[in-house]
Amino acid sequence: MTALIPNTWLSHGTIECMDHKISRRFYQEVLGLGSVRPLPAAQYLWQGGPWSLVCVGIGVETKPQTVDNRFCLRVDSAEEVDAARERALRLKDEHHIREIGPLDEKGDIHSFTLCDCDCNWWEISNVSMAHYDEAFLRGDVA
Amino acid sequence: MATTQLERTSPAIHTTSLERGTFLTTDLAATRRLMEEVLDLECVRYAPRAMYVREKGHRPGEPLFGKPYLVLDVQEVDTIPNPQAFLNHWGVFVATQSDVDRAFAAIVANKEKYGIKNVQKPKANHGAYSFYFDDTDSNWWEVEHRIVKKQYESLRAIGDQVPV
Repeated sequence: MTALIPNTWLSHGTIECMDHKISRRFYQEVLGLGSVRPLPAAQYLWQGGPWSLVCVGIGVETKPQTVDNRFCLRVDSAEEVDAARERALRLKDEHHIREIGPLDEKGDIHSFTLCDCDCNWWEISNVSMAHYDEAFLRGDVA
Repeated sequence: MATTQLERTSPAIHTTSLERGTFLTTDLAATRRLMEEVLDLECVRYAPRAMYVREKGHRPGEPLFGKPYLVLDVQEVDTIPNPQAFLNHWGVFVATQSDVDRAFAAIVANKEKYGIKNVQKPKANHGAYSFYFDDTDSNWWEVEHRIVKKQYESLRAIGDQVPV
């Protein structure tokens, strides 16, 4: 069956920020994302692939998100997740981080979530691409 | 030109990939139909009420095998606690401007079948030619085309065009 819109690729997700300057500092200095601002309304964030996260500056309080709508960033190891959480805790006030969740440990996979100054949620984990490759190869669970 | 990637200092968290985004649905099967039959994406249910979505072509032997991809992680819930808005959308890229127009016509013609609510007309905006629609769970989608110099990687190479 041919899809109605064939040959697509996922190009971007979208978040809001109140102030581009404040948010960019957090994205770059804390999360390690690339950021470029090609137009007044938005900066485009990226890390590790051709897709982007479009951050639209709205100049007022953003619509609060919940952890159910979050963006997940990978680091290289479980130890790096643990260290990242410690660093986030130290930078919480400086970068107006609203909330930092507990460390979640499932075997070799560690993760935690945080809510930034614009109430966007992020997850840091050491899940590798192999995890997703294997899930797609395995097929649907019963 | 203002700040660029090259001027960055070492970040607190050494991330290597923005690899996954998450959203909710009240009907995993319906969302899967939308992903597969409308947007031509690949899905796999990894738990009874959860699935991953990615673009096609990444299986062994396919053209994109080994290349990174963005994953959407969809969780099924009974109700959507925080409905999403237009500025929290997901984007899919198509090859030509004509493809955007064809996609718009196809979406309009199949709205009811796929539980699509609002469909906005295509227009040129922020360097893209695109249109938006939302599904029954308030998840918004943009179907976009960009000429090469306006594509995301090209814009990264140019750097800031507006001071931050």
